[in-house]
Amino acid sequence: MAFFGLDVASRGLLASRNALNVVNQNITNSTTKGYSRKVATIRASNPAPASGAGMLGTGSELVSVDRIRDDYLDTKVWGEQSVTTEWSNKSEYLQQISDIMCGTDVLNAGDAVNEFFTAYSKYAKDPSDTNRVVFQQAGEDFVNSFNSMATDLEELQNTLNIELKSQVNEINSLADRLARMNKEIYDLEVRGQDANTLRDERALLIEELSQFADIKYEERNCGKLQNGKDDIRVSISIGGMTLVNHFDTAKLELVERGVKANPEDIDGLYDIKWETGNSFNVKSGSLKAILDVRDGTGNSIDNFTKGVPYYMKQINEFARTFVKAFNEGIKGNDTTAANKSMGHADGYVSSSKPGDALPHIRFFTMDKMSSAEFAVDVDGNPIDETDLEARNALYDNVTAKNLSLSKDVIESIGNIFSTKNIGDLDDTGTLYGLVSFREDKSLFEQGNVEDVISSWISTIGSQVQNSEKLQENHEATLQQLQNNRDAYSGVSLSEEMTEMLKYQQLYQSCAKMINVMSGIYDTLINAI
Amino acid sequence: MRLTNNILMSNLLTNLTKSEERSNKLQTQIQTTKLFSKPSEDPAAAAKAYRYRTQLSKIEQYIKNTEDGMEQLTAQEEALSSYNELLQRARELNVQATGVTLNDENRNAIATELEQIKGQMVSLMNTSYNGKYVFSGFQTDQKLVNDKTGHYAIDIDASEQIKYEVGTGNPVTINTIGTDVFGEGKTGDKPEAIQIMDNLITALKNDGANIQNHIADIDKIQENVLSATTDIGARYNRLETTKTQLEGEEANIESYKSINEDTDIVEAYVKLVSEQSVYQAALNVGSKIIQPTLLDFLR
Repeated sequence: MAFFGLDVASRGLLASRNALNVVNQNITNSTTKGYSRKVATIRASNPAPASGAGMLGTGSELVSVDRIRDDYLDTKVWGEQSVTTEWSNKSEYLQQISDIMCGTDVLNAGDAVNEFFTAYSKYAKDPSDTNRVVFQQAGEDFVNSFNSMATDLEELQNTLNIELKSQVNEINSLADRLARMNKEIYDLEVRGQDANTLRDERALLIEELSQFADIKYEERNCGKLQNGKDDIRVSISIGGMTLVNHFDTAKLELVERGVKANPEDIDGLYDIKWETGNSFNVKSGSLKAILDVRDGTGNSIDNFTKGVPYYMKQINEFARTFVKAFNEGIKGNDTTAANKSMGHADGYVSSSKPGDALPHIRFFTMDKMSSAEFAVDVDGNPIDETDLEARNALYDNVTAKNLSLSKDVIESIGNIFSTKNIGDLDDTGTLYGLVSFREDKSLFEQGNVEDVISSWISTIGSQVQNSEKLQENHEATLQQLQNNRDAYSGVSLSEEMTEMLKYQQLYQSCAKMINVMSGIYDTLINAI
Repeated sequence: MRLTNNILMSNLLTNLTKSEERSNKLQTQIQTTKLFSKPSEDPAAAAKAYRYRTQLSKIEQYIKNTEDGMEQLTAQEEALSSYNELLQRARELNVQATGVTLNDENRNAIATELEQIKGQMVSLMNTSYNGKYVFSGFQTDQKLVNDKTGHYAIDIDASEQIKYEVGTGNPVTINTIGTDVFGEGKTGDKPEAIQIMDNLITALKNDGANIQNHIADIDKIQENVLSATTDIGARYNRLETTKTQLEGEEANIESYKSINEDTDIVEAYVKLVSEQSVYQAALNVGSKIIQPTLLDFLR
């Protein structure tokens, strides 16, 4: 027991220096993302029998450095993270649909349609060449606005599809990294070493993963290891299917659709599958946002979000019904002669000469076809113009994307409807009659032309508004949960400063103790 | 709850960002003078804004139509009133020609004046406005009456009424069918008044032997013209009333539209100022909370 006092004091020096190191580590990492504070536990070391009676304390020692982290709080954060990401991405995607459907400034929405009617009304009132040119241009603008809506929607669907691919790849690579990290942590912990830093890193990776989908994190106790420790294994699953199981992963695969889910879809859309062949289900996260908006028809049980296919169908139906009513005077699919009004194809055009047969010119066709190319049956023979069913069927393949002015009208304004009797220049009543469908409340499901466009504005508007609200709510909840977690695991500088002072003073006191002990021994040694 | 520096920071940041967002929205509202530019900011108002604009574009067109219709009717009314004056003069000349014994010179003078009147009548029947013949029914590119012979040059059907839309499903006829006013007839027939002029002129040139009294006929024509003029006047009044109504409606919708989408600048400005003071306060408080740690007191 020689130099016992010096020994005790030096243990104190060591313990306080180690504790100061932990404080130091905490302070330097106080802003590090995902860092959990560490707490040094110092315990009195085992006492030794004193000379004489009782036990004598042998000083203090650092027994452990613990990572302060609560799995429960993590799980809450991860769950909220995936919902928050879903809604923030959905808001962004739906806003893009809104921009496509309503323009970047809603106060200009539907201008092309209104302008078409205004230009036509001017033309109907005064069928001069000047007004004919203006109307032709308005027709061109109308067609262009629908063409670009369709192209932009397709482009959005394509972008989402590409984004889906890159996210699935990212999930697979995260799965690999997590499996590797599980192994490193397991190996360290089996050997009884500290894997605190790696555990922080793994939690960060899982948090990253939770943005993509709703994940479930589990630590299972699989019995005892040879060295007597618990055999703890980690698994992470999505939609009930295991993505990472201990050191193994199950990957996701992208399968290009053979058959389109919706006729409006573009080619080459991917479905996600597990490499095991099982189908992939996701309830939230950025994948859910992509799938909802990319595939949302608004009426399927699986996906009732009104996404790209819904709006594509809307503009296709609108364009088809609109041009059919203008060209043929057929309202919707009502082919009874009594309900038909005069259409563009039923009259003479301004270049018709006395004695000419009815030219049956269509103002709109698809893919810039001429009326003669357009008005044919399935076998390519000209249709019977008195057969309303046949005329109705011409529009089955018209979409917002392929809609165009007819070649006849593009080439000459002389091919624009002018009258029902050659020579009647100013038959304004008949001319106005061509657009009487504008006010027809039974033309569309939603009502008349105006009702359809305003329903688009309010539908997409409330969709975006709704997802922005949800995004805001979830962001607030997420922040609250992150704060809760931070309150538990985060570094408080004031706290660390107190600790620092505490251990600094401990260190100083121990040093002083050495001084005193040294004095004692000095006295003793010199006295001999 | 244990508060860490990161929690303080992130809370401060969130609050500042929210305040900035509100200020930014108010600034945009003031700068653009519009309450919203995206449907999501107020879906119902955005849909309404579209409806108001559509209604306004229709009403503007209807107002333009009433104005143009009124111009057309005015042109017809003026033509018919000149025509009526000519008929009046012809009636006087007819009285002169039959009433007193005339010498050749007087008869020739009357015949010459009637010739002139006939010429003027023909040109009135072919009155054009904005390059369109107003009495020719739908065939506004065709003269009603042949300039040289005075015969009808075209056939007009009574149904050839040019209609302008001055409201939804509210057409107003803005032309007057020539044959209704000037007498029924097909191509090659002569309008009644022209026929009378011709008869008088021929008789006067033939020593005045067979001069007939056409006064009763002329009276009848005048009556006809008068009723046509009255009809034009009635339609003109209807257009005028419609126009007043439309303008009232336009003003109403403009004001609804403005309430719906325009920023109340004063209100927005006051809100912005208060928002900015909130922001300043948040910044001040934030800087005070975040700065001090125990570190500041360890010297």
